[in-house]
Amino acid sequence: MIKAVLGRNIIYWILLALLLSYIVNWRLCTIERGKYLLGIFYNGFYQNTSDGIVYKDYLKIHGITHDFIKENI
Amino acid sequence: MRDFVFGFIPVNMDTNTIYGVTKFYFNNVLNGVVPLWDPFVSLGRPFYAIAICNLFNPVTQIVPLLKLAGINYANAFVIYMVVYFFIGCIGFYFLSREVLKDRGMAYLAYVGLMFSSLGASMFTQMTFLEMAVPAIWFFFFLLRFARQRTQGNFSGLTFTAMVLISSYLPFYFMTVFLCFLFVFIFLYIKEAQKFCINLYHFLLKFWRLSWLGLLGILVSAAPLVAYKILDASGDVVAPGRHCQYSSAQECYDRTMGRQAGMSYDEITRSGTLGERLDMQYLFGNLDKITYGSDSLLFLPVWIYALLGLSFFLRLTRLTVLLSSMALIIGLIASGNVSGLFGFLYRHIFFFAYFRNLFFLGDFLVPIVILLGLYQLQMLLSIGPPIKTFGDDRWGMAFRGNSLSTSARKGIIFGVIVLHAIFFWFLKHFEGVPLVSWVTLGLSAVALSIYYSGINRDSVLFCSTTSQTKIGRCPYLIWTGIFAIILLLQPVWILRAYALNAREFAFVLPSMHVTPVFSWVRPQTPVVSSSRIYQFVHYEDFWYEMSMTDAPPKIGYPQTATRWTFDLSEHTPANILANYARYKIVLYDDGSTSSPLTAVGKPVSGPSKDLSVKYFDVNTLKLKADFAKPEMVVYNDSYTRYWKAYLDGMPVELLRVNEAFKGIKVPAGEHRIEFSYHPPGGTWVYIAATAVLFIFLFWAVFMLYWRL
Repeated sequence: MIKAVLGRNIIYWILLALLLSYIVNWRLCTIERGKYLLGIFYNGFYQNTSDGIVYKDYLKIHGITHDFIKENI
Repeated sequence: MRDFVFGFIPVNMDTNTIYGVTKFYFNNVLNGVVPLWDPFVSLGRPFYAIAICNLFNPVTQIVPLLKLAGINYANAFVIYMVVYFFIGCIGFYFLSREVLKDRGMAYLAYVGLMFSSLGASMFTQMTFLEMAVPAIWFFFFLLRFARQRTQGNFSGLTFTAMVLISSYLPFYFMTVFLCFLFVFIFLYIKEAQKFCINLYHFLLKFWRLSWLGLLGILVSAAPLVAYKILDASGDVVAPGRHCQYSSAQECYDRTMGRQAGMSYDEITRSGTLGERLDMQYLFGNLDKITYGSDSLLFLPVWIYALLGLSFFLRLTRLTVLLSSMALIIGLIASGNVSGLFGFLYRHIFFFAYFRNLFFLGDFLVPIVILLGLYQLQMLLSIGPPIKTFGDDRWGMAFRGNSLSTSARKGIIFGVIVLHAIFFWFLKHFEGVPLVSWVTLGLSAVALSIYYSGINRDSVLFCSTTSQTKIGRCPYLIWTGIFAIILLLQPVWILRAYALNAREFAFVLPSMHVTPVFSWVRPQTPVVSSSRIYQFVHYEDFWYEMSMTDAPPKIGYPQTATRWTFDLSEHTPANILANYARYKIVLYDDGSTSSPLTAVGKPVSGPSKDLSVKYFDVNTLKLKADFAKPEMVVYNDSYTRYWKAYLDGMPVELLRVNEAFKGIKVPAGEHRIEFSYHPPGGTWVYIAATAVLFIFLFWAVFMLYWRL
């Protein structure tokens, strides 16, 4: 029975998910993506007013505000 | 795609750069000159991109051919891109057929790739195609060669390796290949041993072909090697690699220190997959992605659903191989958000040469599509049998098993429950489009019908066809149904993406140009209100496309000459601009070390004393008739590979005013020539193009005759 369960994808997917959650620094991921979306590498400012609703959504969802940026970037 | 092909929407971001390089290259080639120098930008610099923009690929030669047929460069370039993309999709069909042994699944893989982000993102990141297309064909020939050690498969493998080496920095593909090797050897140790032994015997048996292949690879690598020799000379620097995020002093020190590689901080500071990838945008708001963003990375939602449905399938080595490759590549591409890239950076030399790690991310698209469709194949194989073409190449997935009624009910229940879980999962994301929900609903219904077995006798769809066709009909119908479920969401997203891109409507310089020597550079840059230039620097690309002079400034380009960059770093911009606006300045003979502010006689146009006899991007020929000896200073960057000739005889070329070229000219009538002769010259590029053509024809010939 155990062998049958171990031979299924679900165990492997769970292992991969655990590996990903352990290896990846998700907080840093959010900060990096925030930097990218804010476009600070394009225009040198902590704002990007020209890239549409997707970026604003991201800021809203992840709470990336001016204060957040000042503290983390 | 129509709007791109017909030029209503311009190529953007890095594809814009590559278009500029491609247009510059072929425009000059059609003028009879293989361009080695770009005199229009950064006060003159080597034509740096020659080794990384796929210029020698036989497919790329479509661009000049279409130009000769009357199509402008911009349209010709997009047509070439689209053709190259479809070559990649066809390669993916063959690769999938080899892996999955099923034509229907291979067709689904083909359309899955066609409607993935790889297709749309080529208009902003052509580099994805440059790397992914030959890589797909490489793995196809590798697999074929492992199964059938024929000369044709070996030739195909060699040709794709040559394209990979000549089209872009090969380190990206090497990373993917090393990931594959690492996982493959771990999982398939016996097969790997057998492959190595067979390869050894093949190389011994066909030693002439092996040496020929090695020679071809060396020749195709020649443009890259030639550029590396130029780089090693120290005459060329790369401020763009070091100055984007560093202090002025760090920028100067690292640039002048000629560090071709980048520091860990420089690489991971931007350009990683980590900053472009977010779970939210794999599922939500995909219809709002702007054309000015290069973060478009998506797969059909049904692929994710299939991965979810595969939870209780048998774990196989192929599942582990594909998913492990995707995981490792993804972690490397994510930069500093995982420790893997840092580890590799410290231990493997070529990881210091990456500039944009997110380029690796697009290898994930074909890998995950293949993984998802493999799960579909396994899902279908536990269902009831369906009649197919009677040939194993068709419909391995549909062979199925006979199931009891209770087993069928159990599977249908499982399918519905897993779909419900995926519905619940998707509900956590904002902006998931309606079409994604519809896709999931259709998937649940279709798979339930499939497992119910009511399609078995084909009475639903095929009652009027002949007996033979009845046998094939269910197979084709199910393949068609699965294709619709697979494509519904991506077609809708790509339509929205194209609509978003229309606001960028603009025409890029695309007409053929015969460059003309201008005596004076403009002081102000050309400006455009097009939105694409909100995301990329305008000047360099525009001037390269139109082959007109940029204003006399340097900034931080990808490539500049060493002395020009140095000069610009310690000279006020206005002084440099005022001086270098004149291409030719005359000094009294002997004043070769004059500072820029010293009194010279700028030449603002032709006269009886000095006129231009010939000009192309590599050469300037002047006719002089001075009353007294003069130092002719050509304000175009100096490198040691520029040569000077007086009346056809070589003379010493001086580096004057720190960064420019000068020659002493006696009184009287003389012919002056400045010409550029870098390592390898033009022949290295002609040879690379020729050898790729030869190997393409050779491989096709060998494959056609099944040798």
